[in-house]
Amino acid sequence: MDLSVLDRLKWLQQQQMVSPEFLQILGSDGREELKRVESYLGNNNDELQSFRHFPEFGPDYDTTDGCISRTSSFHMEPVKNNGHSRAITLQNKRKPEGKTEKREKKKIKAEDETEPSMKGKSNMSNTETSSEIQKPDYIHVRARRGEATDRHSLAERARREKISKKMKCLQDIVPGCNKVTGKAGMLDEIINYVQSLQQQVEFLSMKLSVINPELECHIDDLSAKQFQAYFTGPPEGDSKQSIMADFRSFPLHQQGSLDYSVINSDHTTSLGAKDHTSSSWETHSQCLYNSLRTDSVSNFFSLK
Amino acid sequence: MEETLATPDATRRSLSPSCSATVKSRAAGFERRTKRRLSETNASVREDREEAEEEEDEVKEKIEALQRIIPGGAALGVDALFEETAGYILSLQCQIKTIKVLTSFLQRIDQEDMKFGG
Repeated sequence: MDLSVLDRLKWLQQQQMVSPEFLQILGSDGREELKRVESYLGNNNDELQSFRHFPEFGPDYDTTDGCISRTSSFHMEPVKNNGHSRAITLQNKRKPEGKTEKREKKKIKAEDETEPSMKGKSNMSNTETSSEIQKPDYIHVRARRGEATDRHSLAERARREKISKKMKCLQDIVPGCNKVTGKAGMLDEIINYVQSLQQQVEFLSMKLSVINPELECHIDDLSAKQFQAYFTGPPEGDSKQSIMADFRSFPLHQQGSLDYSVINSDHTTSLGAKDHTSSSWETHSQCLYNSLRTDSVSNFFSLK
Repeated sequence: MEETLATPDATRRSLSPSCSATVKSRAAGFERRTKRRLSETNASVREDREEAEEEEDEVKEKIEALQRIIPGGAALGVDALFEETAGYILSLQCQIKTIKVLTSFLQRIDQEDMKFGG
């Protein structure tokens, strides 16, 4: 039994070493297959020669060597010899072959399992790299925003606050701006209002220009009356004529003025030349302050 | 022997192309998704910028119009321009009031002259 176990181990080792050769043989041609079979036998002979040095297995080893070297002949011999020992040796050979096949299958499965795991790792690495690529852009953008808010954004905010305050003042001044929303709309309202005010100013200034010549006429009338009063002052001989003119203008005045005229007539009859001069000056001043300037002027000219 | 040995080859050949295909398809999909997201973000940013630029352009045009209307407004900034507009509006309002008062006064004088003259 010990010998059989050792033999099995040897066969397993040999077949493990030979497994890739079998794979190659399957893929190649007939001649190459034959050559490799010969190389297989040669390798086995070399390995077995190493065991000849062991003194314990001397006689048995010789028999096993003969069996291995004559494998092809064994297929023919059992018909002739019919030996029990040879049959046992064949059974021993068959069993280790089956075990080796199972081990090979396990190896293949292990390899298959390893490959997808490696591919999965590659997938993970790809995802990590892509995520890393995205992160710095995002962070970079945010950093810029932070810097902008820290420095430039404050100045911009101050400007906007000033502008908003002034816009509110304009809203208060302009009647229709409170309802409008948005800067553009407010500016439109302001522009329209300014234009309308400018038009009104022009229109009203035209009205003034139309009325101005009348003012000039009034000023001319005043200056003419003053001149006439100065002219009528010194001549004493015409005092009667001046009194007559005043008398004619009196009936148009109110009652108060009539009473004053009565008083003047009494004084003139009673007193001398001084009274005449004082009464004449008073009458002239009344004429000047009266609103009926045109009538007095016309009467004066008609008398002359 | 041949059948047992052939099976692992078949499994290897069948697994390898499917695994490679899945890997490639996953990578391509991920790239496409990232590209789509980036393109979408870029488009939205562009739209926002365009709208803001349009509004700014309108505001600038109207500011220029104000500068033209108001005397001495061409050389002023936004703040000073608004101050000048406020002052100018108030001055125009005062002018309008004064001119209305003058016109009413003169009209009354004309009416009185007509009455006494007739």
